[in-house]
Amino acid sequence: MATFTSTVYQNEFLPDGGTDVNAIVRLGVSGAGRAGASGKAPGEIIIVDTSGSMGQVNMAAAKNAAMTAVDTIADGTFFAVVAGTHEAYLAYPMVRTGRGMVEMNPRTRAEAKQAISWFNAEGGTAIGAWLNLARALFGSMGDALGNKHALLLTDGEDRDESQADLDMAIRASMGVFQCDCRGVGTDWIVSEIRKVSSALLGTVDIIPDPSRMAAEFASIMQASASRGVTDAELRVWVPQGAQVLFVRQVSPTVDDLTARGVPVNPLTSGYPTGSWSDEERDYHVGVRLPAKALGQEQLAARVQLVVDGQPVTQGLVKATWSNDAALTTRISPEVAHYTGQTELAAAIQEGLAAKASGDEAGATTKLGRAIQLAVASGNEEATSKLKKVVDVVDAGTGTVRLKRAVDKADEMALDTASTKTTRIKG
Amino acid sequence: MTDPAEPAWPQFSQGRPVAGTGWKQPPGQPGAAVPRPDDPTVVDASLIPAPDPTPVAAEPAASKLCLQCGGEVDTDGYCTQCGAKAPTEREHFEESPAAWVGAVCDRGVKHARNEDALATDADEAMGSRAVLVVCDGVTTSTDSDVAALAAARAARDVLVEGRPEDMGTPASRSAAVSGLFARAAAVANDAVAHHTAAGEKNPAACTFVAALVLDNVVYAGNVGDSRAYWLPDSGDGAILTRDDSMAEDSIASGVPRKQAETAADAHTITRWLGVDAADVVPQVASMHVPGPGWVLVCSDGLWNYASEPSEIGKVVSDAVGTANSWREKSRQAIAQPPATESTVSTPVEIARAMVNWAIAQGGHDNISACLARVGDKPVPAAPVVVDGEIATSKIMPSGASQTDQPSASANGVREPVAATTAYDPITHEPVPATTPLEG
Repeated sequence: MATFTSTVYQNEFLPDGGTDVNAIVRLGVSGAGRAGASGKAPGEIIIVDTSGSMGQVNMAAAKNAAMTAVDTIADGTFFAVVAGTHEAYLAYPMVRTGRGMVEMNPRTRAEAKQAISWFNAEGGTAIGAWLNLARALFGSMGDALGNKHALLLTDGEDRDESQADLDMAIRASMGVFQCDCRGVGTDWIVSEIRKVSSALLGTVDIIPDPSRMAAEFASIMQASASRGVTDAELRVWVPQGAQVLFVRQVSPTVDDLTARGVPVNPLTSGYPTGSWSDEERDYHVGVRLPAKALGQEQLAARVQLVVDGQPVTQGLVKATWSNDAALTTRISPEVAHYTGQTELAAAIQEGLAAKASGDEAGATTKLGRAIQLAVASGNEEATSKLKKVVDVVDAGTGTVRLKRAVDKADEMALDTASTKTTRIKG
Repeated sequence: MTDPAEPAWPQFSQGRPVAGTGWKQPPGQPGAAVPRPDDPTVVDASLIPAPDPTPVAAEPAASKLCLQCGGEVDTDGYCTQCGAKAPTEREHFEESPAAWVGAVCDRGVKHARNEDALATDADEAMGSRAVLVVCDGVTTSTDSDVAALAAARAARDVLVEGRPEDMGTPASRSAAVSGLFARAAAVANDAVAHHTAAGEKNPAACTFVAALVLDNVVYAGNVGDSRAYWLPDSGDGAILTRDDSMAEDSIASGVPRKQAETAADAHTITRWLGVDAADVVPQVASMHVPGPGWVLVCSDGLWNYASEPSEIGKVVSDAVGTANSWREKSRQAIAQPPATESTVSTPVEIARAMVNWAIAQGGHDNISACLARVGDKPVPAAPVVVDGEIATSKIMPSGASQTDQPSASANGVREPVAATTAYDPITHEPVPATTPLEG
């Protein structure tokens, strides 16, 4: 039986007339069990880019990785394999109609690997069409499935459909299935794929070396299989007259959920968080309240995790107005840390965008700020990846020089890692 | 229309897409309701999964209502509407032992704990019998919140023994009541001592004030600076008790009340209940209810903002107006209020409005207000005094020198004072008047 916990980090004291409350709410799950623990079988779809740009080496590696993924999927899981080009094809199961996914067993595993072995790099890239097929395949199973998860591999830009097509496909898939995305090589666009992974509650990363692909696929499948708590929703209640300024996931990665809020009732919004394994996630909630008299205490937000329509844990964000400056001027270390991590993610992404557009001064400023934040907060991954793109003159003041020759893969790795945050230093 | 169970899947076979089966767009709506992303008439919002209609807090037990907005209080202790923190049972409680008696005790704003306490009891008929007790725990002492509540309840449980039928003639009643008050204070003092650990450096301490209404006679006695007031609907009110405080000592020596009560040491009390108390015998005064009005027993958390009877009398009449408007609002909120629903607010609602008023003044201290409504029906004439001893005393008028108070008797009990209904010769309003003393 899964157990759920919540911890709130905040300074609840507001000065006279103060209105804005910031809090970090840490939600935790333990005893989540394996995917399918809820009684419904999990569903997995492997989406492999088979466009012509994959070429011999990447295609071979992708086939190998897809087969490894099929090997990793547990018996009893329903699955399908999609081949993606400028159109989307159901590579396995080889059915023409009806249910588009089959149960994993030694026979279907062998058949699927056989089908994958015939992949041939040819055609273009239309990622929205791939997502549409995956969504239709999950849909063909009715409500038989619990966790619905896809793994998407691409090597190129989404050229063969409009951005509107892609956006439409992403929006239609939100809340239907989760999707982890991986890019191989350096011809794909990080921001484009991050759009997919963020909206579909998954991860994004670069696989610079095709030989690492199989191990990466296996670990994604293992992680997916460990998510025993299905379709949890974050709910944020604020009092009448208050306003949600923002709701952000800030750990393990930064993801702004604000615009994804769906009203549950006039005072409560729900934000999908997908499935959970045994893990902790931190959320930064900002609420604006009407100021109350000194000495008054009130609730600024109820932050809940809701599973199967039932709140399973709740963190209370409070506000107390005080004229004691010693209390009101304190900043919660957790709030400060994650405010910095959020700024770090933005500084990296904006710095790389400035660099790509030829704005060297802007890039230098942004990436300088990024190294300053990364070093100060002890974010070693961001620090080491930044150092492959810039020469650090003084991390303390954020003084850097852009490197003359930068490996594109290093830049992309920095971009994909930009949203990864560290926990506050002990 | 495509059969949802029979979508035609685009095929990929032997490394080659099967001609004509590409999946540029999904056909129809296979399986579950999958939105058609190619349909321009579909608005984005509708593609987002519908919210779960289950209410956030599915706890049916949360029937407590928010004191701030009237919304429901969640099991987490905060209002589901305005988020106000609902007080604990100790931080805010109300009593209404009969329709004509109501009491509210509240933490206020500035103090972290509610060290005020009250306890009440009453019979059904207006003016027949009521007990109103307030104990104000001393903030600087340990566990005085626990001790004050124990003291108030213990005193109440003694004072409920004061039943008119058991107390003989009106003349013998005064002596019996004085004894009852002395015993109530002693038992309350024991209760405080019971909640004080041996060797405690800051032993618990509290004030004590009680009013006993018996057949339209009000008896009031106190130790410390919590008070009983008589607040008639018209005419002058009176303080029925005399504070045991530095301020009162100053007033006795001629300093004006306002000045005395705002002095630095004004709130230093000269008597209290507690293991370190020297004298816990209350001074008891009595008054015959002269006409319609309120008996108010309260702590200094209330009277600090309106000490004079005329001021606190206005607080009561304003509170009646506020409470009536609450009632009107709640009646309007119900489509068809039951015919039995009164349009007149109850004493507990009025007491709540008074407490809210004190909170609005800053709520610097804990606040207790006990109200008994008396004298609405014609009051029987004052009992004939048969005892020979006559004192020329009257109810302590506001701001007046107290040098004309009867001297304490040997056991420390001030002789009870009775007031007959006297009428102002011009206004014909009842006024408290100089009266002969009951035995």
